[in-house]
Amino acid sequence: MTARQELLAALRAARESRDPGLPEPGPPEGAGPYRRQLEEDLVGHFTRRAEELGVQVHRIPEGSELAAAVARLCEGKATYVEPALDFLTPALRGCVHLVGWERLPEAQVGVTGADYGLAESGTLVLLGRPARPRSGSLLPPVHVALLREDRILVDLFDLLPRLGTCAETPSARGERRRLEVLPTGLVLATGPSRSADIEMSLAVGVHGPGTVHVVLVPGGQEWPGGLAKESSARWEATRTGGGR
Amino acid sequence: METGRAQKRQTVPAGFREASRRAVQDPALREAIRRVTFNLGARRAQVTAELPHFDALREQAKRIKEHTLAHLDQYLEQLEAAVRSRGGHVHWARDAEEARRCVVRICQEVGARRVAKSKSMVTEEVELNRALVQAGMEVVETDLGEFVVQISGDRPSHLIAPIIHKRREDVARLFSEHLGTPADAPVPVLTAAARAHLRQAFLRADVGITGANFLVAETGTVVLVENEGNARMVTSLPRVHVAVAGIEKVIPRLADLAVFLPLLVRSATGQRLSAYVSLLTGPRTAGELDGPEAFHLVLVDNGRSRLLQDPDLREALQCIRCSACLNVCPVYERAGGHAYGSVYSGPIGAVISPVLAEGRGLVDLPFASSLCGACLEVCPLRIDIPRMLVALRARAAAGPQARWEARLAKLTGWVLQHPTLYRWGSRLARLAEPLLRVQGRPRINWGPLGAWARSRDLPRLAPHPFHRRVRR
Repeated sequence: MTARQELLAALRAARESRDPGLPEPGPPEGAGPYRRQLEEDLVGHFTRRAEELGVQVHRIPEGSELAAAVARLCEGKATYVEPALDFLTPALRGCVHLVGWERLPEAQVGVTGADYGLAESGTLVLLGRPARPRSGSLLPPVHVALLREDRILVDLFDLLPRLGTCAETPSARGERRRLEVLPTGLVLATGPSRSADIEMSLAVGVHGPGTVHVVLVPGGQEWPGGLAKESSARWEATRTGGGR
Repeated sequence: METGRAQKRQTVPAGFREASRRAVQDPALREAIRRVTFNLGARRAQVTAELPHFDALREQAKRIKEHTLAHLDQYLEQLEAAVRSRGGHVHWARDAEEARRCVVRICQEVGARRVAKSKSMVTEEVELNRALVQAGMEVVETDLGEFVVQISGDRPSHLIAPIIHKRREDVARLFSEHLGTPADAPVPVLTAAARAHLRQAFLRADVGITGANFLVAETGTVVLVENEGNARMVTSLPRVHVAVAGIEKVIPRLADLAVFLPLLVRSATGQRLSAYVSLLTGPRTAGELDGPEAFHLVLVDNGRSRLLQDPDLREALQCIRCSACLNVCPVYERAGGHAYGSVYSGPIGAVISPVLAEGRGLVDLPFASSLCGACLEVCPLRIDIPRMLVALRARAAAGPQARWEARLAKLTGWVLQHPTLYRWGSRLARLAEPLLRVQGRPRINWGPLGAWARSRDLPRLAPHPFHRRVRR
């Protein structure tokens, strides 16, 4: 018998008839008031809870340029901009030292989008894809993340049901329930990289970025490059050609 | 009472007794452990109190785990199919030896010379590093704590804070030897040196090895919870990712993570969410710039199916390794993790280690507890650790000594049922009493009752027995 057969046989023998049954997915009873309170001010809660962890959250003033806000954060530093944000590069080129994918290990700043935010924990949700490589938000010591305010969800109970193994058409529940393709690499990033291994004293930037900026983009604002309307679920149809 | 009985039987392992005695006499160690466990415990209490529905989450998680373990074979097969459908490979290992051979073979097949690892208890359990090094590979532990453990040839002493037994000065000395930092470098300098050193390891590694906090059956996803970012590095940069996981890590649905992640992180470190949670599903797809080209999942039994078949102990498989039980345990706080002599320490370690590491003389670990029940109170899955410790003690006690105890109890019962006999007996005891006592303690503190007698007072008997006073 192979290890697999033997193991499964042993587990089959230990199958238990007493089974409470799988509970329905979703938040437990009693979570209502707590989650509603978060839902009432998603941007505010996201901001406060991210800031508690040392994240610097920036809101773009009405009418000002996204590229200018990003440029202020990476001025004079070797900066990598992920392919999904290619539309920013012409405006950045003048004032920021841009580096390409091959030189990412030397970059001091990585600029990426974030697909969602979670208000409960101040978390950025990054769905990896050709235009959003995993390392862009990981290798440089500074991470600048662009997040649309209307993409801030309450918590994981809001996020996870949106993720499926294949893209599906919008469900009857409407736009907000659209399924995303579960990417090969999804990261929930909450605050800077940290460690308390040595005598419980907090050190940031151990392996990942020690400085995190979140630039909140007003939901209604049209991003150049068509990103505003584009669900990240649809990236397969609009691939920017990852291997540039 | 329970510890008393344990000591009477002299069954506390020489290893734990000796090691814990030494640990208790090391004030610096006790101070270090107390600081960490107190800190983690206080933060846990704070962020769990923040959620009015925390107990409801615990209930939900318990039900999901009970259900999953009742059909573990089916969920593992579903997981296997899901991983395969995303282009990954699944391997099964019955024991530590098979797990080691399997990982070494994968590394050899892809021609790996350098391996970068992120923190994983199961690879400690199967002693993977030794096998990889013997196969000629360079292995680097990349979690800051585990890196310190590795370069000092030590063992981790806590599930999530592996070097709580080390002081800053110890780490500074190690780093000055290995990384050339000043001997009195402060923590930020040490951290920066580790970052620079380990960054090269990430970029040069051929294979990245991780554990798994959860495996999602529905999607074939490996979930990694961490704070430093090394697990992200190890699963993004090397061309092969090997995840090694115990078979009990599987959960049915992706949505179940919304229940388990808050429970794990809030119970473990008192954060709302850890800095990074990675959901990894298969190797990279066409067009992706990074992520592994090949993905392997090694499912390890190594005694877990034995636990599952044991009605008394199967509940222990619900453990999500948050370490909350370590942080509230009075025995762990004083003895530290090394005293347990096993990879998994603390209350949950005392339950699972004797079964997982069968035949390694750890059968007496269940006696390293005062059965105060603090572990049960904080466990996010409400695992009844005290009940299991008692069950394991009962097994260890089922020997000739237990038969003597039973006879003694029978005799006592018989005497108590015969008032005349009892009266004569107590008179005799009153006469012999001065001979049995030295300074309020039992005179006989050797022989089979020695260990019991040494830790006990022998108070004076009342001049008149209670029943005589009542009769007056």
